[in-house]
Amino acid sequence: MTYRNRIQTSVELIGAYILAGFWILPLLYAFWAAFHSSSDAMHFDIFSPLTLDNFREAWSQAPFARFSLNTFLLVSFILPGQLLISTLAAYAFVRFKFTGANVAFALVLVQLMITPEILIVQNYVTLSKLSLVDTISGMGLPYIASAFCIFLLRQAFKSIPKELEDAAELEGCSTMGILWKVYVPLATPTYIAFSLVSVSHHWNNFLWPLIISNSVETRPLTVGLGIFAAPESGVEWSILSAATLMSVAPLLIAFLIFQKQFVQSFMQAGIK
Amino acid sequence: MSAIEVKNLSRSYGDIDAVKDVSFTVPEKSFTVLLGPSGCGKSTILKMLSGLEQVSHGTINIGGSDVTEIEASKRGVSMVFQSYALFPHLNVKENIQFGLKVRKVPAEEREKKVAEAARVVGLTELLDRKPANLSGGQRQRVALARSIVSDQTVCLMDEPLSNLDSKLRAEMRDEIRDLQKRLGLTVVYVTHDQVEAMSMADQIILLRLGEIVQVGAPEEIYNSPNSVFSAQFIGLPPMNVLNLNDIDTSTLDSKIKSALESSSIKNIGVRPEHLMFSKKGLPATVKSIDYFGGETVFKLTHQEKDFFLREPRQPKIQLGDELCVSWNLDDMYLFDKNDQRLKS
Repeated sequence: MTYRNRIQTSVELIGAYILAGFWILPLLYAFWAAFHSSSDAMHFDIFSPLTLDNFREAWSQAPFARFSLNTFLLVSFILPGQLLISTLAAYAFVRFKFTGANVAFALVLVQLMITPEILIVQNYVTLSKLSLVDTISGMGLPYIASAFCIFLLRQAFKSIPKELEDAAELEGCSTMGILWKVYVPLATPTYIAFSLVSVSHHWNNFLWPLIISNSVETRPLTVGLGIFAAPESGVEWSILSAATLMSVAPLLIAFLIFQKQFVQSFMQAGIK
Repeated sequence: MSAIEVKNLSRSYGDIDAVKDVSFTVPEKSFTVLLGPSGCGKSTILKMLSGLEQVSHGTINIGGSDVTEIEASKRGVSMVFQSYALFPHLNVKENIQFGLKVRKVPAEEREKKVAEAARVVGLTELLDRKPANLSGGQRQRVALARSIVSDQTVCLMDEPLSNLDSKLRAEMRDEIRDLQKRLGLTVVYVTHDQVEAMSMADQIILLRLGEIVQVGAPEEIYNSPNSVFSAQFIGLPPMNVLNLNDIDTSTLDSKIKSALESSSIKNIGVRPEHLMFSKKGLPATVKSIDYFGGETVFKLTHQEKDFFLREPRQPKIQLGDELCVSWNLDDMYLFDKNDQRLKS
């Protein structure tokens, strides 16, 4: 390695560390604040006593258990729905030649370009007509046909050699059998990648659940937390941090465990 | 009895005719090779036989019944693909028994069949491996085993050896041929490699641009090609075909000269191994010498036309030497202006 190269590498490395530092700072602060009393949290005295009171306080002030359950139900409603619908749609796009296939796929791509926030009012109207306002299924329904997932799976399916399908067909596999026994197992990395993104996105989604939910029975963690931290009740940073940590803990732990798969699956699922 | 009977088979894609009015029969328990350059329609024919490709016109009979409109899995054929088409997420055993599971064969019978097929192709030790951890030859064997367990008497093979190196290819050639004989399979084998065709086939169907050029046993096609195309496609180096206008006929032997008198003759052909260096005959200059050990191939040029001469010995001949070549009348082939063979 030449001298110049070495300098360049170290500059890049330092830059990366600085950026990473900035990114992790809020999380580190939340950790700090959550384990200290309110007044200590602001002073950054390294020797100030640690405490778990904030967690106890937050837990008793709001029904976090219920919020967690709601979030869990929401995510476990959306993800299987997305996977099911997108798998069938992507399979149709890849395997069947039908009139309007290109137009239909263009529409899917268009959906990819529209931010869901634009449709909030329209979605609310639709769901209220279906009497699904303030239900978990109503909260999940607008996301159930994910254009992104259809697109990713279509790309993955397209890269599967036709000969595998021919071989399965010759062995007597039905059309759905081929999907289930050949396409789905071979697209596993894409399924994992999308699942991770989908779960983290919907775990963290705030605006839409805020609008569609009115009661404790449906509110997910993010909304519960938002109401908990409403400015009019005065912001208790320590308790808020403790509540935030409780909300993101499952995701955080999952990320640390699946870190490798998370990054890898995206490298493999690269857009083709 | 013929296992497969194809009548007036055609396949077009829009305006392009990939296969044009092809008819042939494949005898039972025989090894038939569909041979031809790329784009000759050989793979398309095989796919139509398997049912993976639609037929535009014509009929296909397999085992005595018309299967033209019958779906692939009910035709009683198995297939070995060029890329082997092994399922990468399944291990060797699962790959072999894939079709048995689809057809809901009971577990006990499945085990027995897989074990038997694995033994036949020598895979018993590797049943737990994934295809990614197998060599090319082993993958090939898995594909063969999968075809064996299906218990179909007709096996279609689409250039199964093209991804192997030359030594392994020679081994697998013998193995496939041996397997076909032992199990009494009817094999239809697609290849563009004339060496494979010559060494394995009972019957070669030579194709060009979607049409059959010649059908026959390897030696039949080699010894009496019906056209310039057959003559040059089979044999390495190919048959020398020279236009009569390009050669100085005055130097030729009188018997040969008199054979060339007919006005319908346009080209003459002589196989490289039938040419001899001699004192009298067609003058030629040595352009290159390829020494292969068992034989030596000389590239010669006569009035700026190149041709080959093959010698089993190593004569003392140098580059640039000027010599004469001759041949026997019986070894000469005559072709008309449409490149068809003229029978003398």
